[in-house]
Amino acid sequence: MADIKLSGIRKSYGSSEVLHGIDIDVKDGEFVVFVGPSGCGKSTLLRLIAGLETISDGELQIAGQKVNDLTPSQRKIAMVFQSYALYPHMTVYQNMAFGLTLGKKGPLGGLLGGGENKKMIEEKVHKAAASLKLEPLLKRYPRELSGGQRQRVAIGRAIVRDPNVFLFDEPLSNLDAALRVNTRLEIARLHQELEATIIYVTHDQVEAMTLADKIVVLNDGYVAQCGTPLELYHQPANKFVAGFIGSPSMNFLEATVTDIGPEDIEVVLSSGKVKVRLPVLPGDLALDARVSIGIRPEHLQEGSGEVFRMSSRVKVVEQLGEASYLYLENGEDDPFCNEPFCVKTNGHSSIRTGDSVDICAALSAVHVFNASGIALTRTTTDSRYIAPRRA
Amino acid sequence: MRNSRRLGPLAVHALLISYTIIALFPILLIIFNSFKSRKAIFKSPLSLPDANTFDLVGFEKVLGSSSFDVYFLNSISVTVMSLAFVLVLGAMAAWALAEYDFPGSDFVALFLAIGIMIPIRLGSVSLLKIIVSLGLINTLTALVLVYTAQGLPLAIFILREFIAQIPDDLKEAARCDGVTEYRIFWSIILPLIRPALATVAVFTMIPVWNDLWFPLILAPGEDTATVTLGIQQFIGQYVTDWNAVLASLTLAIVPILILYLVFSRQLIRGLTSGAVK
Repeated sequence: MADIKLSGIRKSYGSSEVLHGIDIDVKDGEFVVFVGPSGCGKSTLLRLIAGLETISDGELQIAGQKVNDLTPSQRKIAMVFQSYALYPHMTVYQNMAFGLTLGKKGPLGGLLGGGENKKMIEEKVHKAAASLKLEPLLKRYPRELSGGQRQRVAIGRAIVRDPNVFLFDEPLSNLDAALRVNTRLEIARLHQELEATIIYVTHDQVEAMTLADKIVVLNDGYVAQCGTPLELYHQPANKFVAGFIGSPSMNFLEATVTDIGPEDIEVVLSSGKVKVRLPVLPGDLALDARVSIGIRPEHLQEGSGEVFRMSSRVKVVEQLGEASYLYLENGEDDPFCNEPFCVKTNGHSSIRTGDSVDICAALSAVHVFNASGIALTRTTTDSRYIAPRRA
Repeated sequence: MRNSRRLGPLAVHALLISYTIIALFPILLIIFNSFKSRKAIFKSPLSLPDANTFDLVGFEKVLGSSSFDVYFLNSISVTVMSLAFVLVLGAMAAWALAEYDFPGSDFVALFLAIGIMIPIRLGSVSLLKIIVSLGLINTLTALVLVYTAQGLPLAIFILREFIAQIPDDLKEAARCDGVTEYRIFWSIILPLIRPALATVAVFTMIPVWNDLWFPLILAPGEDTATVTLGIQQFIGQYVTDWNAVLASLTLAIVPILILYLVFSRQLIRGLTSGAVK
């Protein structure tokens, strides 16, 4: 097991740079998830760590050793591919044992065998198979397995190699919803059992939130933010992370600064109807500056019991049973900007399409972003709206 | 509309069946007549052998008097050796061209493609000169070398396409497993392109087996003659021993048929199913 340190990692294809200097520290035994929209460079970054692509600039260290120029196997990593990448002409057992049959290279580049002895290989494969409930399947071929079973074989193949680092490239995206939850739990269990360093790439923020010790949000080849799931949720560093983490995503409203205090600012929403003082540090904000304010759907509620109040008409109601999502209208003199405005309310809410509702939120739940999308520091101490301190 | 739709498969079948008859007719004719007496061959060449016309004199002559066993052995060793070289070298070259980006790889690929377009026989004179200067005239080695060169371009062209279709993830998974490039080739790539190898094998071996040209100019000696060349001894300027010619032709079909059956069993589809979703 080992730490991983990325310093100033860049990757270019020809003249176009896709990763613009990535710095990440992964501690030993940590479960790190790279998440971002498609094309943000997260898979490329994983392939750079794996050694399947060459690093254009910067330094990659695994266990304190610079590994830029080492092959994947010298880096002692194991990768689980989105497509599983099982060898179709080999049984499950052979698939799992294939990488082990060449600990030492025999003549002809290991072609004639040699390396670890057979008994040890058998032991390792059976141990991994047992922990993944694959034992009854060892003699089957990949084509005879279901998607979930194939995924488990792919994970098993990684486990038997006893690597320093596990790399997962969107391992669940080919599974159906129910299986995805199961396999997600399985991976979480494996992480606890193996105490392994894991880097996991996904575009699904639910996977990221549930599995990660640390999430790295990537956007357009930059690290948008890096932190624990709750830090990203409660203290997004910028508008991109705020909108990306959380489902349904955060609502944004345009506003103008009308007054600046030492520890708060007063803003008026573009509609002019709502004027409110928000508890954030103003930084270098100027009067009349444009800002975006963000409120999560689950921090809004019906009624007018809180300080931040608005009202609008309901365009769509989505009932999920345990909760209902109200999507509020976006008319001409509507206070809300272009996006539909979403409110999470309780499942037995009697509100119907076309109704007019009052909604409100606590001031501590409101995020403020300056014109370039950077979050202003909130001064709230309300534990409902801030991440718990790291131990 | 309906009629034309129903006519379509019928017409296709009629066309294919008539083609099959045209293609098979000469071969059947050779086989029938090889079992007939000389008189019957000329009297009624199209009839099947019956009790009166049945005669094994051709086979007796071929197997008894001539050195046909030597010719057979020569043909088989030349075909099998050439086949082995074409498949192994062709697959390795195809893997190199498909997988690795090296300076000049496009040029090499183009150069090999030219080999498909230009018939190797155009170079017969220079080939003969080279073989003579290598001291390989009248050896089977000369034939194997020439046939390997003849078969490689098409083999590389076909195999390269197949190898390019193997999902990258498989090779990358193997590389992450610490598998050497040689072993990736032997243990993963080769098993997965088995159907393509079988196709290439069939395409390669039939012209080699049937060739008369190169045995005639490079290895015409009694010890190195192949079946096609050996048969020529029965075809004289004034007299042709048709019994022997037809019998040896019939016999010559057998080994290549067996090889074909071996390879055609490999032409199964769906070998990669289950590899990647």
